[in-house]
Amino acid sequence: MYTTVRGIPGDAGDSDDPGRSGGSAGAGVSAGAAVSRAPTRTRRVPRLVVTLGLVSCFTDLSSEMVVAVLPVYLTLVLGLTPLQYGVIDGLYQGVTAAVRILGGLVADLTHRPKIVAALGYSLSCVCKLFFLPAHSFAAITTLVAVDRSGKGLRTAPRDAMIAAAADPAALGYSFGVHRAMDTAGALGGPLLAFGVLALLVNGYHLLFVLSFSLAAVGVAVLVLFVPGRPRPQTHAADQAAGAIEPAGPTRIGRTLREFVALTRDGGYRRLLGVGGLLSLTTINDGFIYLTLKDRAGLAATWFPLLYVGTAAVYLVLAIPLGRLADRTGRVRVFLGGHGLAAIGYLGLLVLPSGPGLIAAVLALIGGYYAATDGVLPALTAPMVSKGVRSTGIAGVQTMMAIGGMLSAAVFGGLWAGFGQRTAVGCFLAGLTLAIGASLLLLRGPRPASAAVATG
Amino acid sequence: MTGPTRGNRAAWAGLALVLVLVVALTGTFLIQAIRAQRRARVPTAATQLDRALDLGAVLDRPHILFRSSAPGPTYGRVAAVPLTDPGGKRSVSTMSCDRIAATTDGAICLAADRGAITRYRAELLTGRLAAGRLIPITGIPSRARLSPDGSWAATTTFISGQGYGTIGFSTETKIVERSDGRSFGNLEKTFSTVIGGRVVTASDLNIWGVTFAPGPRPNLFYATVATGGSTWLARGDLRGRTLTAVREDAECPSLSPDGRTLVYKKRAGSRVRWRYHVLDLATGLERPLSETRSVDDQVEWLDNEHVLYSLARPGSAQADVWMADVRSRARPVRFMRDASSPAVVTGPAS
Repeated sequence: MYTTVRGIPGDAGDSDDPGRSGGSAGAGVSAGAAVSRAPTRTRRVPRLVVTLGLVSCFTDLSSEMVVAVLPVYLTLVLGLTPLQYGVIDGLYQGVTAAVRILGGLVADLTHRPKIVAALGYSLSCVCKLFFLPAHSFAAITTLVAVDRSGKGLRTAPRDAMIAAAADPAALGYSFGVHRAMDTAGALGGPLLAFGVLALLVNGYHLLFVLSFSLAAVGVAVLVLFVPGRPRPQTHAADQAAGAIEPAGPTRIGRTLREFVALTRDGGYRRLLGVGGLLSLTTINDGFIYLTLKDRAGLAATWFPLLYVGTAAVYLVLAIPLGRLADRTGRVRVFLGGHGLAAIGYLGLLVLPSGPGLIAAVLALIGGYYAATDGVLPALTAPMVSKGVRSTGIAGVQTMMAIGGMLSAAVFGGLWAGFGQRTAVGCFLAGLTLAIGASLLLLRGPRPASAAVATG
Repeated sequence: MTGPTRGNRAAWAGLALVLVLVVALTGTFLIQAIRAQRRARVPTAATQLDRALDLGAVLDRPHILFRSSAPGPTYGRVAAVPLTDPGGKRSVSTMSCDRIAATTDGAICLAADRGAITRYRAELLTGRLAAGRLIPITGIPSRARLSPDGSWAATTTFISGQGYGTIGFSTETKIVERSDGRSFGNLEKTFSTVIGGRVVTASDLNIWGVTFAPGPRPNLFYATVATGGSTWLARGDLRGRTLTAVREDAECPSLSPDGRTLVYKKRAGSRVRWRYHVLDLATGLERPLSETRSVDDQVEWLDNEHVLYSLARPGSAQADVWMADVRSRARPVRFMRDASSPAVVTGPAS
């Protein structure tokens, strides 16, 4: 299917975006159709994006079905006390952040985002099988860590592939479609898992094998249907020369030079700063749900449903908000999304307790995700030169992840020292200031995304 | 993959192959799971042992209540053995529990009713296992205890948050008056916890594993408190509604019938291994128990010198109850096969 990409080596004008031309036709892509210039007016989502969405959907189904049953499996089937899990969990988040940057760098240096992404997906896939013989606390936490490292490894290269394939004017839309498919998998996973266990009370081994199988299908779709070489034109010479050495160092040298340029780029640095500021002042989900639970007097049994509610809103809004970002400016929607989160915090403080409070907060937090998670790479990609796109996207995502970890620590500290309301109030004030500062930082010298959006 | 058509065909063929393989693999496990489910309904030799005695007769004498994990239809049910012959014939009840605690005049059962949505219940029972009051609990059953005089019941459950990036756990520990179900509430919210002289209000404060002092309507109890990745043994004052940390790195305490000795788990630097330690409350001396395997259970005292605890058989869902002498270095012995959550009842049940 994606061999169409190879059919356009002469189309040097639009550089190295593979699915971009091929994807403009939703069905029956042919080499002939690909040769014609990408019709930017149609704004279709490239098939590559849908394919990657499918891969993510399968992988999320696979991971979430395991995550959903893990607490009961650990405590009641294996008879373990998982309380210390939280501590280990924090450690792994740090590892994931490091792996993420590494994944981006390797993808850029080798020019093989697909291979790095495939490695990440495979890692998460294979570790599911090891759940069968794993009976100790250490083994299971290691497996969850490997699963997450796989996720860290694949995210940036995959997002770079989406960015490369998408019509630059419809990046938000493409990421919206991908994230919606991804979230659909995340929502379906627990349902599938509970379905299996409803039929077979001790069907955990079946469940792990099913999880492996779904992930394997995801990996197969990636390996078989996503083109391996995203840059057939720029490196046509490399390809012709095959594995002849001299091509290697120059290519790596160029990537490294671009990388150095990226770290010096004012716009990118500002974006990193904005990412850090905003994630540092955003309240971690878990704390929002805890606050919600205390405020609305919700039984902990319903806790998982809060995640489901947020994800459902995210699923519904991901595409419309992605399109909105393309039309009215990605910075605007990205910051607007954080505005939604801030309104949610305000709701936590002032709304009367009840179902209305829960619905409002979940809707706002779901909207925040839809306006930020996919919009962020859509916003980053055009600011970063193509040779270091994976690293660029990974950098911003890592910044957000580190900010998130710090934010959780700060929120926990504020809660312990001054109480829940004060903590929420501080973060509301902090986030409002951070949005204001971000507006100033991203305005003026960097109207790139806005300019593209009007196209 | 030189031309579109050939590449396409090869890719689809590859996908078809992968699909065939994973369907075959999943199918194999599905068939196995269905067979295992059927097999679980077929009585085994262990089932015969479980059904060998009359329940009423066993409850009339000093006995041990426990959760049977004998493979077969009695798996997961509450069973009883005479205290005089714990390794011998048993009698199984019709009740399924994940945790059980008991005294002569009452028992408490924590259970997860598994299904599409797992539901949890805590049920107060009479000593003869007749159904009684339900205590509202949320989360996965972890610990159940009664005070030796039977006036208080304590439950610990795990509540899990769920999301791709985080699997966080927190505990909910409740103490209720057994006669009327009046609750002291979730201790994390209703008690003030003091560590190092300061009241802790951290959001990650967790309390679990209650053990009560002997005597009528005891005011003293012990429990584990945890925050910031550390655990403490804490002394609880029921009427004063306070918990005061007295010793770091101690989990799931269990007080001996004479109230003089505590046995708890220590991590001692390890993240994932726990060992039991014995604390003499009068002298403050602490030493490890002879059990060297990593343990998880809150121990049950057989008498003032011996503790019982369950350990999973390596690589299986079966568990056995082991016994260790708190005063000697003698190796622990297997006390009961296919059993967990032992509750020692020293008189006839009423």
